[in-house]
Amino acid sequence: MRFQGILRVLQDPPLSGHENMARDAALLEVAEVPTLRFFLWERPTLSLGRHQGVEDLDISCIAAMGLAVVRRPTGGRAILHEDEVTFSFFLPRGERGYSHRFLYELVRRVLIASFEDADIHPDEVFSSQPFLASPACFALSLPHEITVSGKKVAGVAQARGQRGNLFEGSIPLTLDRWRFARCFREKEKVYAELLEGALGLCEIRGDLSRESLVARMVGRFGELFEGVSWGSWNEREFERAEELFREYAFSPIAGEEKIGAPQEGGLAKNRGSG
Amino acid sequence: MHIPEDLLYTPEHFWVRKEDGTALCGITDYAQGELGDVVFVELPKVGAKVRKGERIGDVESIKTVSNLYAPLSGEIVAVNEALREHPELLNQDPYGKGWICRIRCEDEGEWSTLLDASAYRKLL
Repeated sequence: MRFQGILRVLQDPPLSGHENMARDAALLEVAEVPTLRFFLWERPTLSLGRHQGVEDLDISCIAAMGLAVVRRPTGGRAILHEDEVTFSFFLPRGERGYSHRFLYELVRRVLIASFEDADIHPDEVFSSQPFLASPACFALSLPHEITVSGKKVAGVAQARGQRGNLFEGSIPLTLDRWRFARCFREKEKVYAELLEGALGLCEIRGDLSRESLVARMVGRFGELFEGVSWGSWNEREFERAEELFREYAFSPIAGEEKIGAPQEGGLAKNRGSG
Repeated sequence: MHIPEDLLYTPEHFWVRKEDGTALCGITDYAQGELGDVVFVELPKVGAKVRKGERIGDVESIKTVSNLYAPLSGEIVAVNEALREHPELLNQDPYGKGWICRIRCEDEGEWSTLLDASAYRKLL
């Protein structure tokens, strides 16, 4: 399948969790072109799904570890963003829109092809044992997700707006399972789930670099379009991200202001690659 | 897929039933089927003034958050509180127990912008 238009690729510098999520939400609301965005985190950040409760979190432990906490515009469960490739992908709605299942499958195939290019071979048959009650994204594999030896290697969630669909994806290179598990009240349980259910790509291929995986993803996502262009944020997107910044700066957990407060002055002025 | 003939529809897959000057609204059978198992519903606030096409809430299913858009302008006068505890009602009974909200409409002219069942069917 090929979509009309050129895929814009953005590479943002390290930003706060609030700013990263405000930028993704702005893509969903006002972007007009298909966009693949890669981004980094100023410091390790725990992101929660849009409607995920906070009752499973160990807030004092999160604070002691110095983690920021942010809520995503997409669904799903918690992810600790540290050593990983983080991306978002916005696809304009098109004339009739696309079902979210169709698009999950599309993104899944693109990621599998990217991993194959890096000599990492995902399972052909979905075989993992999901921990349905787990608060951690990487302990739960659904049929549209990607596993290697039954262990999840990429977390992808979606939001649908009037203008199109936004995907947010996390692909761990390494996983500090205990640090991740300590974010929750039931640490040992989540740790066991992550041991059994999740894998970082560098645990499969130790020499894999972030840059090489990003290059492969750009190539494979680009095959869905008529071309690829490295671009930058436009004025309207950036202004909307600034407006949304306050909404995403609102702490999902009481007392988190001390450990995850946004910088004064709002959004950083760096518009990424240009 | 069930599309009742006595309801009106929006291209965003909302159904609307006119009752005593208010609009009872929910998502269509097609929409709930596309969404899959709904695990969370964010409802609009009672008393809120909304414009047609404005985001009034969202639903989450299979890690996907899908926005809900007001089918008509007016005031939200009731929401289906049962959905907070039982979001699965959206899947089980989208035209009945899975209703989402009731809007007191402020612009009668907007009713003519809604689709009848035949026109909605052609969209799918």
